[in-house]
Amino acid sequence: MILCDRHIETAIQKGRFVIDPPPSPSQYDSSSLNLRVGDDFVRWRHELRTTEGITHNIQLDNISLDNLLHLTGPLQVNADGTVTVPPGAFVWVRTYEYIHLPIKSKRAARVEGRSQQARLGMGVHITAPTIHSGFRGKIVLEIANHGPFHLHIQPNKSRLCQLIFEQVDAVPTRGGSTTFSNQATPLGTPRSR
Amino acid sequence: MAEKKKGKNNGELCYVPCRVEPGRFRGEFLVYLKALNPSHPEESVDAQLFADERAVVGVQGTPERNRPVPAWLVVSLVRTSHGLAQLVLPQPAQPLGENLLSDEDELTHEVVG
Repeated sequence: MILCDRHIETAIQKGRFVIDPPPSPSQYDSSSLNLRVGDDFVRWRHELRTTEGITHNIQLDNISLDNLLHLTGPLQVNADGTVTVPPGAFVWVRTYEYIHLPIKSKRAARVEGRSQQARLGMGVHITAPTIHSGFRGKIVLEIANHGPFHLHIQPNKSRLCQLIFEQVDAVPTRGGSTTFSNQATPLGTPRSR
Repeated sequence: MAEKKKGKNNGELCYVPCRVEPGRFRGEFLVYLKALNPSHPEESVDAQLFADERAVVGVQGTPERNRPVPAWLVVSLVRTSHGLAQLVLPQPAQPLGENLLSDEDELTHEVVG
């Protein structure tokens, strides 16, 4: 079941889940909540693509987050305070808002783009929109410009994504990782103690 | 200094020990955790995740790149059994996803200082 605007608002007011700072009335749509981008944009380092004769590989089943950190750098802000995403570019930015969906709230969410930006070729996430029950943090947007235009974003202001809240039918007891799918019991194989 | 007490309420917040260094964004940490292998709890698994600074408490010192410092990660306790605790992380971890199996004795319900 997708929550409507007033049920989202009520849930926030009653502390069932947290959106910080609290959204203004204009951020609500009929069945979603629009979120702003923050001001900390990150991109792949340019030299990864431009160093002739050097290729880079990532083993998808053995990703090391600390190694990935060395491959990224900040995206510069323009003199007018905007950030430009040129055609074909891919950048990350976190939402301005902090989100917490307590497990007990039995709420999960999906982050999606907005139609106005989509029509210009902007995608704001890649493949994985689910914000699981228990999530605590800012949502990382994976912004890709598939269109022909340079797209200018206003940090801490542009509303580039929306959250659609859904009711989870019970408190979750396990995650979706393949590691856990092999366990003998919901808590793994009990040790003898 | 951490103060420990037992608790088994589903979804309650508690803390697991971790090490942190700066993440990709301001206000974000790269978190290193020791977890238990769900299939073989005798074995430990190294896990990494990015977490907002609000999900990390008790940071000891100043984290720097490649120089993680001890801290505590806020997690949700789903259940405990046979000395094991099933936890939900604030964000998905490599390679475990959003769930974590931990030794119940590793958890604390209050972090002081």
